[in-house]
Amino acid sequence: MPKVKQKILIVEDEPPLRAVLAQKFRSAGFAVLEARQGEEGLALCFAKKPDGVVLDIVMPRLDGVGFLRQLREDDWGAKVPVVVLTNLSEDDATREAVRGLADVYVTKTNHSLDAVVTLVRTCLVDAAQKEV
Amino acid sequence: MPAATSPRLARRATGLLIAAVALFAAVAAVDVAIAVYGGDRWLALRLLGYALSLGMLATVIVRVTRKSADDTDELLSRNIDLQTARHQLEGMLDNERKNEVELAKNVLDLERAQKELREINARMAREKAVDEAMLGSIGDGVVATDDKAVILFMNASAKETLLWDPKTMIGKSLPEISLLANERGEHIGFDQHPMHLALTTGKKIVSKKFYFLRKDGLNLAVYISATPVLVDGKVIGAIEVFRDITQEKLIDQAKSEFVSLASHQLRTPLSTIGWYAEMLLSGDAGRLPKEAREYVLEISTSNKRMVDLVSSLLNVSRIDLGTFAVEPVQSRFEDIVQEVVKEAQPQIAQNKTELKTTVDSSIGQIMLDPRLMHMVFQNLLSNAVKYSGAGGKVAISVRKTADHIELSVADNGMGIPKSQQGKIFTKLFRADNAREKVTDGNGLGLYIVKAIAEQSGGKAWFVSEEDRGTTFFVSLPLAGMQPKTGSRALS
Repeated sequence: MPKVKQKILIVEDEPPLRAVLAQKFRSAGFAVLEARQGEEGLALCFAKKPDGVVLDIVMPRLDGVGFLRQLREDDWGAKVPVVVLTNLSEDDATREAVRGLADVYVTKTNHSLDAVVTLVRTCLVDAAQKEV
Repeated sequence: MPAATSPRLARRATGLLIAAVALFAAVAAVDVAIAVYGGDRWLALRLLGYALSLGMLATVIVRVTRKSADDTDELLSRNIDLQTARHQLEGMLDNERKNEVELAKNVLDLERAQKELREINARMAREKAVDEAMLGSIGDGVVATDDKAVILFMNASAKETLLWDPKTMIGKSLPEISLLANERGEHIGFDQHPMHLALTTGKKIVSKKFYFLRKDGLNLAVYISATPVLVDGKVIGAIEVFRDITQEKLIDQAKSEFVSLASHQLRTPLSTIGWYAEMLLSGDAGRLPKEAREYVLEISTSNKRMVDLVSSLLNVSRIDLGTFAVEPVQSRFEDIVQEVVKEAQPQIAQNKTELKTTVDSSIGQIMLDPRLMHMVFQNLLSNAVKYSGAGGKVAISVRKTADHIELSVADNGMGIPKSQQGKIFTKLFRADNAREKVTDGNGLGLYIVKAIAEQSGGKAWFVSEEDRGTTFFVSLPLAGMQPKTGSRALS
């Protein structure tokens, strides 16, 4: 039986960034779902129940903080690993808001795509261990 | 002296007269004896009669003379007394005259002093008017109190800012009317009031963290400076100067938000460039020809420089706004240095730098803000490797002296030209030789290092000789970095 691909949802409003992330995760062996902003992302998230979420913060309609708050209210959503990828400063007020809601919070410019993939993998492994 | 001579002369004259009478009596007695022996009794009797008469006359004369001499003596002595009295009077008169002159002089002196006093009064009145006009016209509120914090004076701005009426406030106790709150609007006791601290410590206290609770319910962000008034080292009162900084705070906040937003906006295209360059280099779009790969590497390197520049500019703006925090926790220099060296390994390997690291193990755990300390070492090490050129020697050292912890990063590189050494910690400054030989650099690193050192209770300095090398030093208190509250961390 072929191994089922892990499903990752990428919520990012910048098309080039979303595209390059999607491309990287696909070539790293993930099944990728894409959303252009928070509302769409949240709907897709509950509909498709991905294994992990890569989330931007500054987005139209529903930002990353709003997305996380609503996601964490749900029983399933409370456990899904979320890696926040943003270009806000690491100490920005949003970081405080996200604390405790996201699993990891990183600055895009300080991390290579490889590093982002590694981070997501680590989070998925951690979440799987918690499940067990 | 006539008073003494006259009685002596009188007595001498009397003596001569008595002698003359006695001589005459003796001659008469001899005549009597001759007459008696001669037998002329009648003549003898007559002569005796003369002699007796003469004797009587002489006695009378003597008596009269004596009496007169006595009188003369008495007169003379009275005369002396009178003369003495006169002399005394004259002396007194002289003294009186002298006193009069003295008095006149004193009157003149007094008049002069009075005139001077009048001038001083006029000058003081003028100065007071100028002071009052000055205090009245400045935008800052000014309140003066005595040593018990009782209000002695307040200017018009204090009234305008705080809605206090100076007429009713003078004589009141400052703690009763000056109500302070913190950022959360919680009331602050007078024991934490800058004026209380100035009065009790005798030191000037400056604070920007308080809010005045105004009677109209408005909380006013204020800058307060409280200065003790010292006379012979004793605090006799204090002056409070305050300013409404609501607008300043809003501007600071706006600036801070702008910088955060701007850095976010700048980073978004940078992360796009960085990630696409990474994709190309990793062969996701197929293997690149050698030349194309080199070009993409250039793009990637420049992009990283741009990312660093944005981070540095963000840090500089936080330093300039005074909003960055120093949050020390128990840390070890060994760990921080090791991490920095590990990160710099590619640069060290590329430059074939010979690196030596010495950390005094007796320092052990110490209060450090690991992120800031990392930044200090990272900046100094990166400069040392960069400016010492290929095969350069770099030494990192952390040691403990009698009164501080001293970090140093030494290199044997190009050094800093003497004429430009004064500017080396200036924002965006790069020395000519550095700009000429190493294009990579933004001139912000040392500015940040110095700010971190100074904001943590330390210092930063260097010794350098052109073409011989440079050693940068950072000193910290023995207990480590001092904490500083702030709304932002450097990143």
